[in-house]
Amino acid sequence: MSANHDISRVVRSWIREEEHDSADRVLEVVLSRLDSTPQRRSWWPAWRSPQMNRLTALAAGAVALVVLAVVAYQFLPTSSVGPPRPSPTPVVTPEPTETPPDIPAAGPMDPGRYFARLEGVGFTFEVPAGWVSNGDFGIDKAVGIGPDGAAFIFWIEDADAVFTDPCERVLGPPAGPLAADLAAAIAEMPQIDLVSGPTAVTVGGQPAQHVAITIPTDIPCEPNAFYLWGDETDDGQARYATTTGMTIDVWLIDVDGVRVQIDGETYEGAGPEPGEELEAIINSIEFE
Amino acid sequence: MDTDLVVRAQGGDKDAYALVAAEIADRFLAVARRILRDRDLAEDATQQALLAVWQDLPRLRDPDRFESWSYRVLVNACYAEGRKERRWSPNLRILPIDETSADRSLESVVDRDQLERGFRRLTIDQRAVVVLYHYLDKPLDEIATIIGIPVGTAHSRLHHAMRGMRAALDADARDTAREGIR
Repeated sequence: MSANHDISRVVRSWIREEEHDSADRVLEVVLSRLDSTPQRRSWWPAWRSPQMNRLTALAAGAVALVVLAVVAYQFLPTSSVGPPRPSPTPVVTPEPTETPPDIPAAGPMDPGRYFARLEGVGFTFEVPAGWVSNGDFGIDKAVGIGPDGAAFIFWIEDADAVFTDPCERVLGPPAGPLAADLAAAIAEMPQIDLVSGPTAVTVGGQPAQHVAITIPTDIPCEPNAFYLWGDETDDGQARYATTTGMTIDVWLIDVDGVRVQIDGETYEGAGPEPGEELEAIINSIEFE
Repeated sequence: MDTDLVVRAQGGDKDAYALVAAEIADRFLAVARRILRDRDLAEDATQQALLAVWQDLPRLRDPDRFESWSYRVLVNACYAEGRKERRWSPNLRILPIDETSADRSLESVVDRDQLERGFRRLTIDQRAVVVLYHYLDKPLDEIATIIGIPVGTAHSRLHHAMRGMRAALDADARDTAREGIR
């Protein structure tokens, strides 16, 4: 008998030793939380937080809200966007007349201005018609994943590093504190296609970096196992690909020394409109 | 697993999901406990996985693949819990295998504590493959699908895990022998 066969047999026997594992207590907790745990529909973007309880808590503290501007959608720019989208131009938006509301819990959103707080930095932004909240970390076009779809992920705490081996979940060293540091790391990631950037832009009047990438169609693992960037040091949040062929626009904004991260995504076969909507929302950002 | 229950749960039927969860919960906990080697972490991983299965069930395109898909969710939850554990665990390293002792009969020298110590020295990635392979009897191609890695990587992880176990057990045996000589 070979040594390997020997050890396999021993390990197999040991690991199958009978231990009664009753999950009744866990099951009770889970079932009690179903009512407050909305299901995620298939068009929601891809962000995985291993610590779901933490994410829920983060999400709960993430926003404050306003009702506004059904007319906002009429102000969206109509020009073509294309992958490289530097130098956002401020969009004309109505002056808020009351405190914008937080992003609502999962479900449809009225068009208008909303409030979000990322990394402790508060800002408002304009949402056009046809978008929904995914409940805790972003907003999506209600049409779902496809050529007409688009989505944003708001990083309540920004990523610290990129995965140096996306399919093996190998997170690289911290990228550094500046927007330019993380933008450079994203641009140099393996196994992705760089579309543009890093490019110096402004968002809400603040200096920012924009970088756009696409996820190749021939990645060696499933998209939801293809990890992009994450936060190892804090709560273990990690971003993975929603689907292959998608384009991810990352905006990294330096706001008084704090880096704020917003990811936008469009999907394979997209025309100019989804990208234009992303750009319009980014252009509508106003920091506190 | 009853596919009709899965389909109903996908549509938001909480009663259906309660039945689904009741059917998989004990097995989830058993797998998580074997991967993580810690009852509390395993319960946390199981809880997170069962909630994640509920949340993401609408995204499962083929209900017939529920089992593999749900194990993937569980393994990911174990990775997350394992990351917590790593924060306070010592940075253990797999010792090089000692070929001179590789052909001894292990059963005569190995006890449960040695196996436990050896297994804890493996990475969570390796432990997951070992548990799926030796405890759940999953073939490596299915394990690759569950974890989202190439089949070759699954082979490699299992190989290195067994090699690491052997090396750790040998190191343990050497230490024991050394203490006996003193």
